[in-house]
Amino acid sequence: MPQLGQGILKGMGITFKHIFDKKITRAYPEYKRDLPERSRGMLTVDMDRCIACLQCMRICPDHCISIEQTKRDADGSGKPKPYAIGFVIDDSRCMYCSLCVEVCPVNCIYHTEEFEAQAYNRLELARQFGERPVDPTIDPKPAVKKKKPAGKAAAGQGAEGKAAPKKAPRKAPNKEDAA
Amino acid sequence: MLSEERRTEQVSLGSRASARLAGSDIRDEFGLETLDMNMGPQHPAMHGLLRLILELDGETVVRCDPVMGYLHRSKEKISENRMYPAVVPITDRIDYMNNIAMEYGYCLAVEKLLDVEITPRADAIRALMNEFGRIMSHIPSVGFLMLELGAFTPILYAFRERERIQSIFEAVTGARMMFHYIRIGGVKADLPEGMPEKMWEYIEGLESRFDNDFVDLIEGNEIFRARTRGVGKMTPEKALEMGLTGVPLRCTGVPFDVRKHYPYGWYKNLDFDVVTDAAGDVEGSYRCRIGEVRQSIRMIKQILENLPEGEVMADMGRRLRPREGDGIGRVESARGEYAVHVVSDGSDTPYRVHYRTPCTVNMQLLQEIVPGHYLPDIMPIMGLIDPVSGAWDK
Repeated sequence: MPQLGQGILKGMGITFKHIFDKKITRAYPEYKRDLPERSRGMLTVDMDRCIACLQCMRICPDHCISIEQTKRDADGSGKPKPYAIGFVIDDSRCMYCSLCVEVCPVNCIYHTEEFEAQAYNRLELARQFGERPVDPTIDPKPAVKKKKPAGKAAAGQGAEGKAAPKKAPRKAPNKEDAA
Repeated sequence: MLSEERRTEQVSLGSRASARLAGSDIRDEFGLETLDMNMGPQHPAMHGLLRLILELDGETVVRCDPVMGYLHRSKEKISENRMYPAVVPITDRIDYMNNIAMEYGYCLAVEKLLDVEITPRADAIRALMNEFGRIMSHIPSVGFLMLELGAFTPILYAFRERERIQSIFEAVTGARMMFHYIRIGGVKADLPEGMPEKMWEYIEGLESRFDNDFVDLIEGNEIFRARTRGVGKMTPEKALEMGLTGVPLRCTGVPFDVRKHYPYGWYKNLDFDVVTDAAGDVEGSYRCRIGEVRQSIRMIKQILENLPEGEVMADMGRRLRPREGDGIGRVESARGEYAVHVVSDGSDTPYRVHYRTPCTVNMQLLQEIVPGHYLPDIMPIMGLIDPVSGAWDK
């Protein structure tokens, strides 16, 4: 039968041993540890290599990449090719999932080791990479296409304009039935 | 709510409390009734955002109604509007203490629809990281239980281990919490150079540190025993009736574990025991968690000893379009059985995704078990369930 208080004393002995241990707390802003190779920090783009294929923009789940695409004969071959004249990454939306990095065929978008993003304004977090700034508040066209029944799809495309007149005739026969 | 019969079953209460449980209106000699009180949502012991509506008779709880939904982020609806691979980072945010199991369940469900075969190495790495995730979740759980009982040291030791495992995860996956590592068809990338040796070194160190520091600090402590023994006591029948899974079920003595009974992935090849405890109270749940950490260490050693070679990603097209139908992925997360039901209509996005998180179901325990306990016993009972706010609200 162990005596009362023995367990507490045993625990105190363990904590006492730990007084002499090496300190493991790091003074963060002064001391920064090396990040591993795979660490996912803020995104950056090498615009010289970008071929404006828009794959990163389409796969991004948070719509944080917007690209303005034009055609330009950049290498002087006489054949205009797609060219990203505007490229914005909105860090206030990015969740560092790395899907855009994996999908890029020329490896021009990649993670840096930087992870400290702060600003007084949300728009300051949108970083422009192209020649022409792109408005980050406008969502790029979502690439997702939902398979819907034919009737529903037509209603969805109509948006505000068609929705109102369609409802009116549907209500009228109901009223007559009730009367 | 409690049925009339079960209300009268409650024993060992004060006369007013038992009269109130039996449904009658009660007033004491001063004409006072029971007191309604809110606990939370902003309460340090509520594991996130949970509001409990308590009816108190003195210090005895007569009624306890949990109110969920303060961290609802509409995960299921968001999942319907994203392409299949883009849902995986969303699942990371459901149970933010044990993220890797959340990814695992979703990927299993979609892989059933795609009929892909996972390579042995990818399966082994998935199980390996999943067990690291379990350790990473169980050790702080015990630490939080101690913190809520007033002991501050165990949480520091717990987070020291969690930080070390997070560093392993960062080297393997690239992130410390939101890993996005398990993908549909395999894992994101192979283990980095020299990582299995580092893991082996860490796990051997953990084994001795865990027994000598962490367990010895808590086990045998008289205050811990007094606060947890017999608190939250329940029978296996009651636990099964409520549909509990995970540690709250196993601590009553029911040996149910999805890894054992419905083995998935690499768990078919692993030798491990389902840890149970006959006590069925908070102390039993503590012993279950400690035992499960030891089993996880054993499993990690087995996986690292014979890690198969080969590719880590199945060969699939870039555009995922599963066949029409539905698939269910069941995994044992650190908190219980986690299942994902994915319904596909043959398009790029899921038609419907349902996440069955163990926390939502285990939360019933509060309504059933807490009445009859003292108010400060709610904290250890929360430690028994060990819910995560993100998981019960989704």
